[in-house]
Amino acid sequence: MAEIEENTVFEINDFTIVTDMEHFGAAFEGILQKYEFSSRRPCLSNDVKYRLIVTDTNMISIGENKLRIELLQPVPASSNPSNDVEFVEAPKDEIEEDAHVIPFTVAEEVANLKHGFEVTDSFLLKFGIRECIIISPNDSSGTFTDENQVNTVMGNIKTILHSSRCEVPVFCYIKDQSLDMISGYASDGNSTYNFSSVVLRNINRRHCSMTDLLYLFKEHLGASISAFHEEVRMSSRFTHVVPLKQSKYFRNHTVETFGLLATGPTSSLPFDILEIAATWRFFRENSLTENHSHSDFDINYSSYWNIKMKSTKSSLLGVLDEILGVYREDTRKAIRSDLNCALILGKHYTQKELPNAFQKLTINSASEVKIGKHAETEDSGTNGPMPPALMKSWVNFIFNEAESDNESLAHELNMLNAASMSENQLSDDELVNNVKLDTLFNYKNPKSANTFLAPYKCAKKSTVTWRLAIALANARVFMSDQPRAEPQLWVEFLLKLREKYEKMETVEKVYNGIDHLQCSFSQKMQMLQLCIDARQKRHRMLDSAHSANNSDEFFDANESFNAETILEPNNEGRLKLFGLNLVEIPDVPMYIPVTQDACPLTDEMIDARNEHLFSLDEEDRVHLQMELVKSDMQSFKAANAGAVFADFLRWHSPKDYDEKTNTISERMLISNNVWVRSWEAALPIPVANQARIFNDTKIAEEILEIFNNATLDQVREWMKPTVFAATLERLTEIESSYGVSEEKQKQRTKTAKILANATLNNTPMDYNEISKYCSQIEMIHNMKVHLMQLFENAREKMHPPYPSETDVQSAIKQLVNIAVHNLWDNSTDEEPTFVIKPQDPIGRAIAVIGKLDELTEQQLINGHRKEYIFNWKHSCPSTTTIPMTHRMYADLRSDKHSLYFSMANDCNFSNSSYL
Amino acid sequence: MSDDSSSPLTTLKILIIGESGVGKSSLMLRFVDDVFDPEQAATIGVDFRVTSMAIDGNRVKLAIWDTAGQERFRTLTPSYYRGAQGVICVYDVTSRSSFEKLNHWMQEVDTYCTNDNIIKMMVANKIDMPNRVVTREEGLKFAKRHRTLFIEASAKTKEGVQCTFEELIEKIIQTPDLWDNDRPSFRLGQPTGSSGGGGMCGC
Repeated sequence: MAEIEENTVFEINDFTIVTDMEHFGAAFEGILQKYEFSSRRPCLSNDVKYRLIVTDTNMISIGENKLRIELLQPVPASSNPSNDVEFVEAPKDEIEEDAHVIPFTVAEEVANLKHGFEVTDSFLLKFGIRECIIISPNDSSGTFTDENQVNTVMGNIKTILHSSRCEVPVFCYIKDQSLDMISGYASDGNSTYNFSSVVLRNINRRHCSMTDLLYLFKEHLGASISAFHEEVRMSSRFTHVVPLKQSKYFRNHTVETFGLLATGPTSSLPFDILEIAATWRFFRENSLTENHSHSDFDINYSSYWNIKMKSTKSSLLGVLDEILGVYREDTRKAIRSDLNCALILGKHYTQKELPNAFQKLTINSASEVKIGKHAETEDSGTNGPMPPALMKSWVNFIFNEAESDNESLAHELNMLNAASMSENQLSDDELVNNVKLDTLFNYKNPKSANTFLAPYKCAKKSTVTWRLAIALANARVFMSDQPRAEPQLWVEFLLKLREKYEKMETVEKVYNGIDHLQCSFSQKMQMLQLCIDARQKRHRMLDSAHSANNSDEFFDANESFNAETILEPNNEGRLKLFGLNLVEIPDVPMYIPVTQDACPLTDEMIDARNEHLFSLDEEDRVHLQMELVKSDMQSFKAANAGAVFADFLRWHSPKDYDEKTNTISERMLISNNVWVRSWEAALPIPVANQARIFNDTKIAEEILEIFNNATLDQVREWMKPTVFAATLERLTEIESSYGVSEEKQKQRTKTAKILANATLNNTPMDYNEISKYCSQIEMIHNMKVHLMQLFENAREKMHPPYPSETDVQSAIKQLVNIAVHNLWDNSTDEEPTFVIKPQDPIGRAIAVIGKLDELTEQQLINGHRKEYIFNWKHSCPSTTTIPMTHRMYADLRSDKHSLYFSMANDCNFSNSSYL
Repeated sequence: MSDDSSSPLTTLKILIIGESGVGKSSLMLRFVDDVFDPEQAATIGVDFRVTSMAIDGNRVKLAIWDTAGQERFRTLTPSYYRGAQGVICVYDVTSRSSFEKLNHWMQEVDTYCTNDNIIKMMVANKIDMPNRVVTREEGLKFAKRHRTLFIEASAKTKEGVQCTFEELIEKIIQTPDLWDNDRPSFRLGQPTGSSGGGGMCGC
């Protein structure tokens, strides 16, 4: 720093002092140089659709504050061969015309009438320009608090723009960026453009119509109205938000849809608002009038409409989300984990005579359970929220028992329907509509395939487990205001299951042992069925053994008796002839004995057994696994008195006995081997008198005990794979009502494979993903169905010509795409638009849907949002200067009125331009 | 079993199946303990050995399940297959019937196997014996038809035994879908665009 000392001459010897503003200026100039913004900018073609995006961001400090300098530039929106914006040529004819004088791009852009309501970029709409530099504070602390500050900065910027011959407009935000107060400047050295905006909470009502705004525009220019001026060109857009008449939806329960997994909206239809933005393209001053008392802007006579369907609801999720939603972590946590389903019912469940499974059974005491001596279960039961007749139908449905009384079910369902509708009175029209919608939402495809899209590990279609999963899910949906309905159904299911078990009736489909490709719950149900089968078989055997004991021995081998003939039940437990005679008593035939079945195993039992086997030493392991062989030896000895080990081998392990040489294999002759030891120790006992290997009673009681103690969460977890599979399959079914694209089908198959993996490995993340997918697809489906119905209804009420089927489909697709975009798409992609002409058939259909003919003139005047663009070619500052286009965009909403000006001046009054 | 997998990459379950007396137990014992007992007792139910081996620098733990070939034990078959990543199907080159039964065994694998990608290997055992009746070509042809690995071996002379297990394990390790299902997998559902509606609004 220069110091002034006595007797020294004042001298500046340090030239490094630079003000903050100079710093800023230098940096800003640097940026302009970087972009090479020092000459005419190219005029962009109107033929290519551009999107304005921020292509570069710089930071500059001004004092302590940081400013963000963004470069907003147009890039071709669609895949255009010419991606390089800088070199897009202006249309040929223009080039020819102005071959020698390249125009000031900003002036051209502002004058461009194509920059009307067709554009979607807000900056272009507001000011009519497509390239600019925007200065904004980097954080809220460093905002320009008033216009003076901005003017200071802009003053500086103007100097730089002029000195570097930059014609790109520069904008600077005042206060918070969200307030949208902005000031801008552009100049080519001769003429200038000043950009500014006015944002008010509420503009004076005097200025709310087109006539008023027109005065405002002209007055802002300081121009008096004169007949000598060129006419102002205007464009306007009125956005009307029309509520749709019916937004409620009531599930209409019918006997037909009773057993279908519920689909459709939960309580309200996907859309309740029709938004029509009616645009009048550039028209001349005085050709249309709008003032306080009159409006020419009849929505039906606008140039075109932009249509959107919206919902005021915060969530559009459908029933499938409700069904799968219970598997979300937060929902699961909300369920009490310490209560089983019976306890949840509390006083609604009378356990008069406790069925066996409710006694505190231990594994040891399970075998003591007596068969067929149970209290009548009819006395006990639930009296929860679900009416008994309905409950009975559910249980019958689960066990696939013919509905004895369809009428009473229909009656019950009607009661349910009435209850849900009682609060809201619907007109007859709406009722009819509701039923129509319901048929669409609950579409039942008679050709629905009986196979899965992918090999899910879940219950197969048409099994009891499959229907149980659907019933429980539907109970939850049908009676969503009654959280006890679901546990009640589970308890009733268990009571019926117990009853059927006692009566030895079929409880689940089983083919050839337990199907390990099905889920764990399904395997338990199959196991129960196998227990029932085993008990039946044992009872038969005991009965016949009993009768064999009582009758005299009258059995004689008849002539037709051969090795294939299955013998009558007999005391020796002989099944049939083996075909050879005994080794040591050659004249006595050898019999194959009736043998015991091995214990079937569910996946869980296999895992437990394997773990147990692993924990044992070799001897115990062999001992454990010899169970079946030992039983076979006993049966064989009982069937063949006088048989030796070699005989047993000939039947049981023919590989170990050579019939030609009459020798036993070496490995069976190893001294003291377990086979020989077991043979010697085995007593002749026919199967009927042996200890059971498959202890069906014990296993069945264990399963029923697990079922009875299950919490609601556990029950839902058991149903999970099946319910997910049912949901995915149901989605495919309902979508088949209108056909889906190939791409979507592929997506579906892919999702099915993820589900197959999720059901196999129980991966929660996969399940979440599928749950999300199903909810979204259902929502889209609901939207489509709703729109289909709206168009269908419109067709009935409108005059011909009717919109064609393809037009309607395309309209639905576009409307759904817009809704989907607004719901989920976080991408920066532009919102899709759906543009129609009001007088086209599809436009008239939309008018019927929105009942636009019922709009009053007052409603037309006060559209929900009114926008105007004014373009005026006007000489400024004096009548002798070259006329330039001025532009104003007005955006009037109920809570905010904004005006944006692009004002030209053909005389450059800026001192800085002298540089 | 897999709980104590501290350092090994993974624990694999290998199942050995085949007709009675083709030498399943001998193969396993030769591989695990490097012993051969001509008087090997008939297996009861299932027998297992746990061992570990290094493949491509990765240590894997092996649980080898040696099943009984006798008909009567087959009622428990599904329980053996559960969770297996590899299956070795053995036949005896001196017994045509044991070779002819291979069809049946392959069918069983397809029926009970929960994992589509399970690696199958055909082993022609007892090639040291003079009274061979099944040729190498026949075995190879069968293996090709069923798309399985194939090897000839002799538990007695050790020939091909180590190779059998090494090749099988290597193939399993190359198929991570088989053993690496602990981590949540989105492999089937490659995120199509955004995870949201992006890919779904095709309508």
